[in-house]
Amino acid sequence: MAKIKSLEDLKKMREDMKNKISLREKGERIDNLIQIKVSMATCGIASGAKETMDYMVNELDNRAVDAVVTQTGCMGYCYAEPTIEVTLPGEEPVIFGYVDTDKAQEIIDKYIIKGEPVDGIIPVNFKSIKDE
Amino acid sequence: MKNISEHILDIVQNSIRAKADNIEILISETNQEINIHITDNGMGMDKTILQKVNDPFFTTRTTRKVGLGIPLLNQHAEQSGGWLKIISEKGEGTKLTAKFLKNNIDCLPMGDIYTSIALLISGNPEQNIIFRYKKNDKQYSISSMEIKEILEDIPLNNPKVANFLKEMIKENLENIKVSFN
Repeated sequence: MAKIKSLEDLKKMREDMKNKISLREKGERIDNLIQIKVSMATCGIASGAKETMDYMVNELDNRAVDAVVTQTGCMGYCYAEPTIEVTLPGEEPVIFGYVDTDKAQEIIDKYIIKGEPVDGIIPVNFKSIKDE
Repeated sequence: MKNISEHILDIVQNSIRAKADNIEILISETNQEINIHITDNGMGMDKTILQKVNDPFFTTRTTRKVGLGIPLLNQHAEQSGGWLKIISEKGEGTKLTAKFLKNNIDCLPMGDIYTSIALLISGNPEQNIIFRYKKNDKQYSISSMEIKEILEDIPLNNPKVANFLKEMIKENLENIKVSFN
């Protein structure tokens, strides 16, 4: 039988990761990271937010994208669940609705990696010219 | 909610909203039943709120007008012949217990509890989440604190860490013969 993973293996993985990270510039790390928040309340989970978050974590890991994925509560867009909020470094947060695994793939491919706009944004924190 | 693991993911969000920083999830499984205990040190609830938690049209949120998490869990526990109990006091935290009877045809399956726990731990780096699964006389436990100590400056919510946790918890639960279906 194969050996069961333990915290010892985590320690080894950490050493590998640490070496990679120290090659990059440290400094204000959190601002340089892509931040993703998955809305994980009853409405989100019932619509498949768990699968969406699991898929995104997997994809980001496979492609070695420097991101952090956290959970957040209900943002009030229950009709458009699962919803996620993506903040690219130096940009305003953007909220996407109806993010199933296909949509998640598209967001990673286009918006997160290439910075291209993707359909399905919930207009929440946009500013009009009058606000300025 | 298709399985028990989704309910657990959901109920823990209540603890987080109640500003708990220590959340314990204990699952004890025997041949007849599955007992879920979720204990937090959040703000707790007074008697008037506690009486209303089972009301689907009661919520403390302002973003929407329904609160289905507890009523759905209650319904699913009761349809298996089990029950749901919540003990709480204002300022003292909350303890939730749900009993599911496994031999009932209407009992929900456990589902991929390892994904729920890995996503909870990595997705909520501010909270200390303690998970323990007892199956008959064997058990497995893991906590955010232990993981953080090892990771040091690497964030808990790094996707690589989340994926590792999922695999590790899955293998350890399989080792104590937990069935996910």
